[in-house]
Amino acid sequence: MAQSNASALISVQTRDDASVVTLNNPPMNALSFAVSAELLNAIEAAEADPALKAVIFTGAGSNFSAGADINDFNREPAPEDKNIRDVIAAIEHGKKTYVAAIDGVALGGGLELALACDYRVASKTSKVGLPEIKLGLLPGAGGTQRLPRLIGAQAALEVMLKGESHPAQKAKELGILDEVVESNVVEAAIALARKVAASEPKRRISERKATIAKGIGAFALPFVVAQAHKMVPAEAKGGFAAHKLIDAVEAAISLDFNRGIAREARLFEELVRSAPSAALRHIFFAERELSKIPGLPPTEPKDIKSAGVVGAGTMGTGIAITFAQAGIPVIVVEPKEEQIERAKTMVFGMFSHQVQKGRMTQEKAWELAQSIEFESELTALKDCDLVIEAVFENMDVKKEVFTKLDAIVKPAGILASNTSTLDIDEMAAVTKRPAQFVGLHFFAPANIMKLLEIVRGKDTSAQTLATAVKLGKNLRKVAVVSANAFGFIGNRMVFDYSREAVHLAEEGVSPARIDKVVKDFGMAMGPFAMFDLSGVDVFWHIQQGKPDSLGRRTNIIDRMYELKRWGQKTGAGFYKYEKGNREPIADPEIENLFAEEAAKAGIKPRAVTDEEIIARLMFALANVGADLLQDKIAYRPGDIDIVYIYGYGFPPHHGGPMWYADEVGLAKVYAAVETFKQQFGPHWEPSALLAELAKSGATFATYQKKELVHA
Amino acid sequence: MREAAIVSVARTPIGRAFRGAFNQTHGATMAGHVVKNAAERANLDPAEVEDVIMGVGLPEGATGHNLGRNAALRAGFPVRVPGTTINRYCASGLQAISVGAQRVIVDGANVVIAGGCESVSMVQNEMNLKGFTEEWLLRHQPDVFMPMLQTADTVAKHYKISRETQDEYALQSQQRTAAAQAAGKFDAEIVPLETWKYTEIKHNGTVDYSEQQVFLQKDEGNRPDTTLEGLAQLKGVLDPKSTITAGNSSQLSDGAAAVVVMDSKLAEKRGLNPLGFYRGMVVVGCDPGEMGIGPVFAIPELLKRHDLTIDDIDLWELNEAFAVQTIYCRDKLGIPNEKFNVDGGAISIGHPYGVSGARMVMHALIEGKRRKAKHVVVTMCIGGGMGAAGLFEVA
Repeated sequence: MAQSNASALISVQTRDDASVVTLNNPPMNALSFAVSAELLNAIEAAEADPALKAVIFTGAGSNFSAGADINDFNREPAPEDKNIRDVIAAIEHGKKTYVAAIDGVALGGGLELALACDYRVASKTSKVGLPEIKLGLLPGAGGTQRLPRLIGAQAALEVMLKGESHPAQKAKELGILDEVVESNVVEAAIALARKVAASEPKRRISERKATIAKGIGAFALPFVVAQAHKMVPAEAKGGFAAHKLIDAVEAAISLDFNRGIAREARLFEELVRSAPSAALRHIFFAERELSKIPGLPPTEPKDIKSAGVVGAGTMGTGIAITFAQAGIPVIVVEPKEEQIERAKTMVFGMFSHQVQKGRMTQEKAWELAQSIEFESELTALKDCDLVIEAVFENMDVKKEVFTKLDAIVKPAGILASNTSTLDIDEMAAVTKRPAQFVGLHFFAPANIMKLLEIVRGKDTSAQTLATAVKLGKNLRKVAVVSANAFGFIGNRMVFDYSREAVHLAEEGVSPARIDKVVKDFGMAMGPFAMFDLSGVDVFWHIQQGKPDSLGRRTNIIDRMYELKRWGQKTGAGFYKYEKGNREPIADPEIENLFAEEAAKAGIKPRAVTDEEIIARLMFALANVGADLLQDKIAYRPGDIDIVYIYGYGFPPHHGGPMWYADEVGLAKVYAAVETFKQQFGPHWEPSALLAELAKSGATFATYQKKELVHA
Repeated sequence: MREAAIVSVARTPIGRAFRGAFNQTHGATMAGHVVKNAAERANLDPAEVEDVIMGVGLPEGATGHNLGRNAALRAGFPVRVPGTTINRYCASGLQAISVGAQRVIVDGANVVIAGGCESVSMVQNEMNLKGFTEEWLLRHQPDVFMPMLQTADTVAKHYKISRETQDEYALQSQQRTAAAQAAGKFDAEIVPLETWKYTEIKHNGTVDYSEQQVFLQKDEGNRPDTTLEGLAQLKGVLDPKSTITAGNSSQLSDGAAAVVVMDSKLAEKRGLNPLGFYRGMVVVGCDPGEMGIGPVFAIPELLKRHDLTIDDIDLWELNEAFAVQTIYCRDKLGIPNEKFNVDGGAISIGHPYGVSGARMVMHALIEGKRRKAKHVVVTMCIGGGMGAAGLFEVA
């Protein structure tokens, strides 16, 4: 056995008549330009050695490869740079038998490398997939042309459009892998290469003809492709990459392989340069940044091994389920017996749903459900590492709970509030442990929504904050840190957004139209459907506390509160609802109410374009977002974007409100905000940061880079 | 009687087949583009278009599946707008306009869009040859399947037209097109098309491909630097001794063209300025082996029907499938060279079969207006042995 350490990035071993090439570029064996160059050398050397019959590719560190280095997409390659496509072309022209020995993940370019080989062997615990669609891209190194030739266009479309990774056994059933072994995947690959040496040493996928699916003739191609186009979202609504991906698969059937490769390369380049993919890649990187807290001294986060929740309402119960699912036992304290019964029903309903969907076994569901304990007294929480209150959104109520908890919970325990708007410091002040006090703002339904706002109080210690960040990860949440300020990041911004929605309706635009325009933009829900879901009464309560910041012009919310038009829960709000149905029905009555209140306030109806509706709502978000950055309430524009995408249904293909403002152009956004200020009043005061960035031709993205260097 | 006016025209630039800008641009893309632009130029509401008629020389593959209908949909027209595809080989585009005019005059349609489309790149080498020939025809009319180059060679030999004469004509065609292009005389017809072409990359005996975005704004086939010496060096295509060379034959090309045909009263009511009016068309068959001379039978018949003589026609467009048949037809009928293919033809511009007829109609009307011509004739030879001639009056 000869070994030559070509470099640090790959290693090459000669095993009799086989060359074993091991990727060694931790953590995920990314196929960077440097790795590609070395792979090319290894292939060239192997091809030139008459003693060798086979080349085996494998990966070090329990992974095959997670594909290209995404950072490479953002820069123009130098002419001498070698990439994964060059490596694959070299394999394609090679005369030796190539076998991929997959142990761990083979994703994206990693799987495409394997598809260029003659055979693919994987260990049982391996996972393979082509997840490019999640970044608004398509597999650009032959995947769209080889996979349909290997497993049929229909199956290939499903694999690539969903972008999920598949366990080895499933991948073998799909036809992606030739062999799945328990262990020793390299040995198995060498053995396979020897076995096929006499019968079929070369088996290039490129030489096959793509079929649609077994037993379906070529005549069905237009139908299958058209169906796929119908199934994915429209191009402007997040489906841009999906449609191009379908085009590429269609090319795999209708064009010769080499022409298909050229088509794929072109479509890939179009996507790399496209706004939706840039937005999705922005989110990918923004998510990675989240756990970096600027200015946080190094500290060891604590392990949260047990948790307590105060209040068994929908929110408290959802939080409890979240902990249970993460394997953290939780005690829920609720004084009302009937509320506990309701909560138990919710817990069992949720877990049996998971069992029905095949996501967990009956035993596992039972075990997790049992890890939620219901108690009636706060004293039950004395040994918890962390206690979260999820009681009524009222400062006095919350203070009373924390005063009691402070006396009960062990001194090392962390106290947390799930408040969505209230002052964390004021609550912390009633305890003797303000350093161990933090806000943990879950979004309803807490066990489903990915977003968690972590609110850092003025005395919150570095360790408490780091513990909360780590906890967020363990709970599989996307956790964004916010400073302590009214509404934190998400709700502070949604107030301005809501204000504009109400103002537009006061100016004579029907709530149904506003919601439609907003949904066409890509938001999961329009503002008025959102009010009806969360409750107009909640909005009214908040308005009572903070009337000025809402730019209130009419008494419409008071009227609705008096009329008990509280939303879904009372059968009428900004829409009306049929009994037992959550589908909003446009209601002329609400338009009359708006007209009456607007007339009383002297607001005249005006013609408003769809563009203005989007500008007023989205620029309101960007403007207040800029204030949050300026005031250091949010650390990064990307953090705000994450909050809006995961917490408020902002369309990912627009990248979040701050990214969207960049996309529109900050000069244009700023000019619009100035115009709105002239037109509608001082609540449209432009953020100083927005003005500064707009005037210097900068973007939030460049601001983020600059700030991160300082951090 | 109702009268059919041509109120707007639009065509793609003509692309070189196989290596040119449109070498993988689908027929529906090209046809949809010109149909849409012709409609916009006439300020039409798409819903009022009563038919989209596309002439196609090879109506299959990328120009198959009833291209007329697909062009209407590709143009973004509402589904109620119908479409049809017409084939008369190289006269398909002229035939489509003729049918369009008939739809207006006879059927009472108010607005019709007609033209032609061809993708030699995507169709010619991929033709479905299963059942292409028939036993009886092969035995009794074999020349109907004769390659066009062969028919040109037959015409050259039969009518003794020399290589030199053909090359001189080809040079004239190239020079006239170069001058016309430089003077912007095609600009009013052309709507540029942005698309993706592919190119071959050959290395070490293997062929790879890449795709590039292209935005073709003018015809790309003509060679302004053509010389007689250069033409003389070319060898015969079918046989080195044949006088028919790549230089004195039409080019293989891709493209699309469309015109809006409207009831002239409606055009007047809308204040549209027609380019001209359709007066009639004649098609006459001839020996398939000498298909190139078809116009000499069609033109006299057309003139007789309209009580006109050769001298009454102010401008002529003849397709230029080959220099040899062009020269023969021109001289046999005594058409003055200065009124004939004044800005070149298929030898210099290119010959997307189904498009050429429509292209010549639009160019004859635009150039005719410039020259204050009254009558213009568009004529061509047709594979399978036919000649077609259409008469238009310049507005």
